[in-house]
Amino acid sequence: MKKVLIEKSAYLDSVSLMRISKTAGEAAGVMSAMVAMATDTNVLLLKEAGFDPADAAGATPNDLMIAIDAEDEASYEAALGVVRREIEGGPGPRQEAEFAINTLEGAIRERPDINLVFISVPGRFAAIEAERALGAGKHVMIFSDNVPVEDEVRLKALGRAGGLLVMGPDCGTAIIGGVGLGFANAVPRGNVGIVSASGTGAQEVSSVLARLGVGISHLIGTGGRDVSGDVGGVTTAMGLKALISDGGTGVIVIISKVPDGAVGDEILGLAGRSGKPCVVWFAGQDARPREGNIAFGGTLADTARLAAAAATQGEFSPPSAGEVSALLEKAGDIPLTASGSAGKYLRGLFGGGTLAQEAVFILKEHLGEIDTNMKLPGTGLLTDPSASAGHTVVDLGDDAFTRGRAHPMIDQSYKLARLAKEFEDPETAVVLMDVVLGYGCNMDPGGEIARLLIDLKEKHAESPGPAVVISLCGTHDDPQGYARQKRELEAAGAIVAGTNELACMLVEKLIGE
Amino acid sequence: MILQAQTISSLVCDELNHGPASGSVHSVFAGTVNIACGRSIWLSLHAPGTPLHPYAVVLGKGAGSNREECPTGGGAFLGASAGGAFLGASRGERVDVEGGEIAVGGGRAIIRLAGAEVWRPEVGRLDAGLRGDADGLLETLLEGLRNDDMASPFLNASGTGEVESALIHKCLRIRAGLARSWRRGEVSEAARIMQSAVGLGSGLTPSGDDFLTGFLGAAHMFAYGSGAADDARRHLCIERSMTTLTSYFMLRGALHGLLPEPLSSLLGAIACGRPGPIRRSVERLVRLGSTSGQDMLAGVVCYLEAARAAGEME
Repeated sequence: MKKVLIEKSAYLDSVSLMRISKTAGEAAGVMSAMVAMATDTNVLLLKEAGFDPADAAGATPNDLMIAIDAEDEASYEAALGVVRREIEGGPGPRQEAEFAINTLEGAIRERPDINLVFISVPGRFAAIEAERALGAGKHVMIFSDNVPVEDEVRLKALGRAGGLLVMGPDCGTAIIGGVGLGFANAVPRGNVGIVSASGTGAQEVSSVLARLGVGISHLIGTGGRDVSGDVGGVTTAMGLKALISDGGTGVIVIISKVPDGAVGDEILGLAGRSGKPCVVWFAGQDARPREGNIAFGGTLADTARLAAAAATQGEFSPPSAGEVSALLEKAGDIPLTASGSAGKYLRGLFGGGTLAQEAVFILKEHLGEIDTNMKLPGTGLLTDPSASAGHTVVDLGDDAFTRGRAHPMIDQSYKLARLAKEFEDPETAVVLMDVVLGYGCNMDPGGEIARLLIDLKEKHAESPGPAVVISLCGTHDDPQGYARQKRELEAAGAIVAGTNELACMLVEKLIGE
Repeated sequence: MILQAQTISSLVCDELNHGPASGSVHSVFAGTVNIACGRSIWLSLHAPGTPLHPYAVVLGKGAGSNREECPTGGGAFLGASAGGAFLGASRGERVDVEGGEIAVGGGRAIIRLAGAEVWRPEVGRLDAGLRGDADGLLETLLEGLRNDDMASPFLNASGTGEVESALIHKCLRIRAGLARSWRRGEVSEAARIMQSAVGLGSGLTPSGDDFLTGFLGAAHMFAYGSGAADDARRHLCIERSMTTLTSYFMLRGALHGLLPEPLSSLLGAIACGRPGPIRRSVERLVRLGSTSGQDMLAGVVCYLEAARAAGEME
């Protein structure tokens, strides 16, 4: 049902209107929503989208128009309630005045004791703000991406000269002194320190450690480009030195894509001289034997287990084939591809870029050629990332998918649309997805996927459909609730693995059958 | 509360020279109060900073008007949503303009205009059109559009939901159609397409209006020699019933080359043709509102693409 409601002589600014439209559009049972000023052109637009223009009769451009396309009356009323609450209670002209700090200088003046500045502004402005923060003697974490590499080099040189850490640009995750910044999981304090050039890589390792009962001293993000030859591993080296001298850190974990040769040598040299047990994961590297105090993890989960063993002086135990069988057994009567559908391909949909890369590195040995939108050695590059071909793994956090919308770890709308598309593709055997929990992430990622899966299974009740395997990254203390997310996904028929590595092992088993 | 205006648009000066006027507060945001006085006077009172509307009155720092210090400060015109109502104003409050002062709410807040700097919102006109490396200029502008966080429906290729998709589809069709007709010199067709953009999209200045402001501003500045901008203006009919009041006054200004300051700065930088100032101006413009600056930039790019294809640029 499509309805338009007019609020006479009401107005809101653009930011509020866009936020309210989005919130209402995401309400249960709502297909589409638009809150806009009732200009003739907008009324015509709604008519073209199938709304009845008579609903807006008598409206003027200075009236507010609320258009909602909902499944039924109850969903419409619920969405309208959301809009009204947002209009009444959201930030805007009707809210009571509050003191607001609008600039970095203002924040520093207000709280001169703060020693770290978190920067999340459009990329083109990030370097300006970061330079201001460094000039004020503050460490910096730059969450923003799309910052030119020459700015990164300049900022890190400035930071190094002043003894200040520059985490990022494009640094998604850090935990400093127990405080999570960006996308961070609720992990206990402990004696494992992490330096990471990968956000979701760090989340996976810290979460697995937490589930093994091992905590984190600090997690220092560096930004993905730090280990490149251009940047020279400045932050990785500074972070590593900080953890080496930190009395609360007993074991050091280093997570990165394969670094530039000289940078890698410097990192391993520093780790080797640290006097502390170190565990290193370089994405896509071949298995490598221990070198002195440095162990090399084959996967992210492996890295966490090695670090846990070092931290607790316990035994390192890799995952067993029994875990895979147990999960498949638990999945029970899930109509797996081999038993029905003609599908034969993997479709991997990831919000976490490093988890996507890890999946490709693990699975390409078993599946052969995998097409991706990531430039990885030994894989084909998708000409159109919005369309799968053969075995496909897509990083949905890539710029091509995030322009004009939030990252898929926050806004899953495209990820869900893509899940529906892959689910209905007869060539799909298994859909592999990550669900990443933690502060800053979508508050119910598993629930959103579960509800869509239930709808899809009802819609296609006559066919078994592909198996859906979830790589669930998070901890039991995360705000989304690890157990609840797992339960909802399993109730919707998904097979849920606690590590990305295990999820990939499941895919190998399913596609191989 | 007595405040001193720091900058006043020359349009406001012209209007106020006609004698005393009375009106009411039209809309209130965290950093702006919009005032309508009769059918022809519009005042946008801004917190200290840049004039963001052709009819701007920018308040000076101090006397509680500083955004940082004032509990009612923060945000900006055209879309920022920080909390608070600027000047503590409320909708419908009476406003009197007389003797070089604007009195809001029966004198609760008085803005003194004497001594303020006069800002001329009109961009220049280049007799000989735009000269310079057309490809380089466009490339520099497009860099600004390729970057992150572009939410303008004139720049976005995908939307979620039927209405958003329909809006984006329509905006992209307008952008392509306008460029095509302008390139071919079909001024009446271009005006018809522009007309269909008026009032389109969300916001107190809808995206379509912002896009047109960018396009018309560029045409005013660069198409003077060919007379195409004046032809287009004659074909265009923009009435106050077609869009929101604040947007109507902005569009009315744009038809005559009267533009928000960040947009006129960008056009000036383009006229000079140097990449550095262009990049800095793009950065300032796209910060305007939620999508207003992006929509205006899309309009400028649309004009330049059409002009380049038509051979108006060297």
